[in-house]
Amino acid sequence: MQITEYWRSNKDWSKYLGKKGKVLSVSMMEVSASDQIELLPYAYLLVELEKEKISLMGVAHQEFKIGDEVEIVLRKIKKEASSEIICYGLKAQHV
Amino acid sequence: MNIKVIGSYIGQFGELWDKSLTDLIKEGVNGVLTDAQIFPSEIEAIFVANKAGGSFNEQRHLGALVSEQFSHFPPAMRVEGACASGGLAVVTAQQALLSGLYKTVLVLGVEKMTDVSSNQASAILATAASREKEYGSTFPALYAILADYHMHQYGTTREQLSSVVVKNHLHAFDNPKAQFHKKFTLEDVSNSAIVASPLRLLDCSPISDGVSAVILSSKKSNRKTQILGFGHAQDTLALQDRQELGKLVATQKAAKQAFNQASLSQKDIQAIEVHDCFSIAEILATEDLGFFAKGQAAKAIIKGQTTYGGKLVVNPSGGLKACGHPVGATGVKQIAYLSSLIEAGQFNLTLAHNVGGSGATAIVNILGRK
Repeated sequence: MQITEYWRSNKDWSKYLGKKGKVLSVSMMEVSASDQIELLPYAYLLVELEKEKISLMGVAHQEFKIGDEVEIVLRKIKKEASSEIICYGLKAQHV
Repeated sequence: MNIKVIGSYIGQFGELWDKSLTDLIKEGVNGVLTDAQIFPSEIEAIFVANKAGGSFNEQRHLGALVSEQFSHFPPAMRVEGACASGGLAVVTAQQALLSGLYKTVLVLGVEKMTDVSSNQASAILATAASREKEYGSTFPALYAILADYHMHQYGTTREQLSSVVVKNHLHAFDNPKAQFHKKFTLEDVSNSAIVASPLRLLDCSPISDGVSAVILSSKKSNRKTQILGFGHAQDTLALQDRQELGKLVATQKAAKQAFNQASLSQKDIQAIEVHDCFSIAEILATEDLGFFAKGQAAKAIIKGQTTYGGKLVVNPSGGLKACGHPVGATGVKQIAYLSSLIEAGQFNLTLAHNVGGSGATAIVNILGRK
């Protein structure tokens, strides 16, 4: 993720943090792109909120299935190198 | 419409480590001109389908790279619509012919993907998803989301997903240019390693190198294959912005346009090449194109209704799954392969379906002889 892209995405966090929703579909990922390889395995979810849907990773060490109630929280979204900024972002966890 | 496919060429698909992007382009140009038996100077314009030469090969400006293979340097442009680049280039070429500006044009699809690591290739392919809204996803993950939903909504089973793969690998034995000539059982597919659940390794099309090309012309020709209708539709880039997850609306819209233009219906079609980038994608495609009711395709596939002797033949080339998926070449290969079957008298009416992203772009072409 480019640092400028990351900075722009930060501005939307407050709109979603703490919101609750229902899992519409889920995949447990065993293979991923380089930014997330060290987080594997992780869940990738499509969640239905009150007025919209959102796609995001699930928090570590939780399993999800269709219909689960989840809430949106702030967590690390990639494993940073020693000289990088620590990247946080939106993830879903069980209510 | 009076556009004919007067030449076609498909190169070997696979891990072609001894061939560069330029080698593939030269092969495609020479191959299609030889098949069409026309002079190079008869090509009036070129449409190049390529998804990511700038990333895979650090080579952009592909229009010029293909044009310089001709001594008269015909005008050329690159067309990009992710994995639908090939279909989109064919449609763009048809629009140019229909405008009357040109009478004979070349469409060349090419992708050279294996010069980077599989991790790099995955990252490059993922740029066709929404970078802002689908962070942390991969293409298998997005189709896994569609598969999980389809299985939950319509009762599609693991075994039914596997049956798509088994069939397409069997079909590929008829295609000498296919990347894989290997038979798999339902158990092989169902027990292969998980990539993004419920999708497993053998549910996924491979990373491939390859070139394909067709020459389209509005001039009189003794070739039999005519493009009878085409459709092109779009949807949201991100899955989260779709109203419905059980179908690809762009495919439905593109199919409707193509069938209306051709004045044909699904029951007229004998063989189709569909965009089976993942096993679930073939199930979605055959439903959204209107060949099966929603939730019925998977049951029909496992019963043998989409192979020889069934209702229609789906992916006679082996599809993306077994023939290979050099992204920019795929949509052009579908047209070239169906054209070769029509010229050989194997089928009269066929359809090609090419998808970009997780359904944000869809192209449908109907080919045949009336």
